[in-house]
Amino acid sequence: MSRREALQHAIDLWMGFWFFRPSYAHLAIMRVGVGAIVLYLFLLQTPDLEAHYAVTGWAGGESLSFLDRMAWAFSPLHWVQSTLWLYFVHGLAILSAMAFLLGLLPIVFGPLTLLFDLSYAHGNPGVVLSIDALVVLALAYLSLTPCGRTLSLRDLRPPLLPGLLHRRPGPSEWSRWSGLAMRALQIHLCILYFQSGVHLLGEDWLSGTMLAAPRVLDLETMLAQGRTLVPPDWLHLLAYVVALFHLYFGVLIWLPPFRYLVLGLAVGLHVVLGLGWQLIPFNLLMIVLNLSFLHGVHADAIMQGIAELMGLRWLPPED
Amino acid sequence: MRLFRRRRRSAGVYLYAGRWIRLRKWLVESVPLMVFGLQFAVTMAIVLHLAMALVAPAGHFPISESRVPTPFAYLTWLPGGNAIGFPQDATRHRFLFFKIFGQDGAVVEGSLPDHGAYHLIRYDRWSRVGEVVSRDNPTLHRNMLLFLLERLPSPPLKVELYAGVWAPGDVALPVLQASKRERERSIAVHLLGTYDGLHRTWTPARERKGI
Repeated sequence: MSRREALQHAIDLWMGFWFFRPSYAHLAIMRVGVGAIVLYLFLLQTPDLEAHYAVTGWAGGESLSFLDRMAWAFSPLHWVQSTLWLYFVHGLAILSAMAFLLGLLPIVFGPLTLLFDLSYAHGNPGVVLSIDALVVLALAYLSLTPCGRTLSLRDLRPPLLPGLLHRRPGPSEWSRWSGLAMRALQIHLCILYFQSGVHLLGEDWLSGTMLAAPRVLDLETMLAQGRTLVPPDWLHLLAYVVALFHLYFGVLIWLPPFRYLVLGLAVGLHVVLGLGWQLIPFNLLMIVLNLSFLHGVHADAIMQGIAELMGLRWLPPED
Repeated sequence: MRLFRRRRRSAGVYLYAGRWIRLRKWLVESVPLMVFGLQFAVTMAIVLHLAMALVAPAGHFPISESRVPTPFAYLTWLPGGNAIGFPQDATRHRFLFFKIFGQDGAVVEGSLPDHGAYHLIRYDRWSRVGEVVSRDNPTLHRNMLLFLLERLPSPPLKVELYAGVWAPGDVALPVLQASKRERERSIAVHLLGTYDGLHRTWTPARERKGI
């Protein structure tokens, strides 16, 4: 192979890695997962909306500026100091998340849902959780993809939703751009795992402090008073396995023979962490984000299988 | 007619036309190259941004403890979050503890996180509230007191706010194996302030120590 051909080959590999046509079923599965979790998060804000976000809440006025030193004027929650306005904006956020879940113009409702999510974060940074950071990540990347092409409200026939929602598909060469967002999401996930792994290497995790989480103790109290759930050596082993998994995830996931093995491990790990630590929504979202590593063909096959189980006929949409 | 001939023979016109045709040809031929260039630039920008996220998340340089604005900062940072966007002090297990002395002599104790608030995300958000309020910020303590007072059915005689730190001390395993009494010893609390219901005054603990 001449030097020129080698260069051409390298460029083709590089561009093929970033620009590819993703499976629309794959994008839709991820959209439904992320959309459902976002909607769930927004709905659960309702009972504590005034306590967390109103001026009369526990963090009103001056203390809010202490919590969020970066002033952000775009948070609709703070435009009008009224409880009614608070509920109005909250209602809009729920509607927006619902539209995203249903695949209704995700390019519009995706960023809008992201805006509302950031508005809550700036509305009271004192209640921001790890899952909120993941939601921002997922919405930002998925909004750049045609994730509403299938498994969406657009699939309903025109008598219900005429013309407006049935956009013409774009030219096929543009569909490769949507692969870029997916690839960026995958790489971002790898970085996130690596950074989490570095954090886990600290004393807190490796010495087993994680097991002193009030929830784990509660669980332990419920199950067996004064006894450990599993032998201490196993707990230490678990702590090291979790840290090593986080560190090496970003490498092993790109090696074809290991991909599904690592994915399976990730799902298993998040199920254990989710159930054991009762952090189910966070770990569920991590599982959904991990689905971005599925092969497009396999995602189509999963969709076909689900459709057949439900006695429906599903055809992958074309460009 | 002559004028027409003259025009057709004009070197300027030929030159112009020739340039335009060549330009158009060049443009058409170079579209794939431009698309490639754009795609290549975008991929490199993403790689650089992600590398930046790896080295200095959201422009936060851990060595100099400084932050510079970066594009797409929200992908790696949220207000109240640490370098990877997750809440700060999430592993410290701080909590807020309060005692309310009622007019009838009853003492009600409560804490944030409230174990009564079972629902997962609500519990998480309230436990984060307990974690944030138990930090050293008198304004926040006072706000929390007002928040609690508004929700009491009758004015109390006294309210005491405490910051609690779940101090595993000899780390987790002994705590896990310990009996309930021993486990209680591993919780460290310190007074944040006291509200006097008779005079309706709030005295932060630090000021009282000074007196």
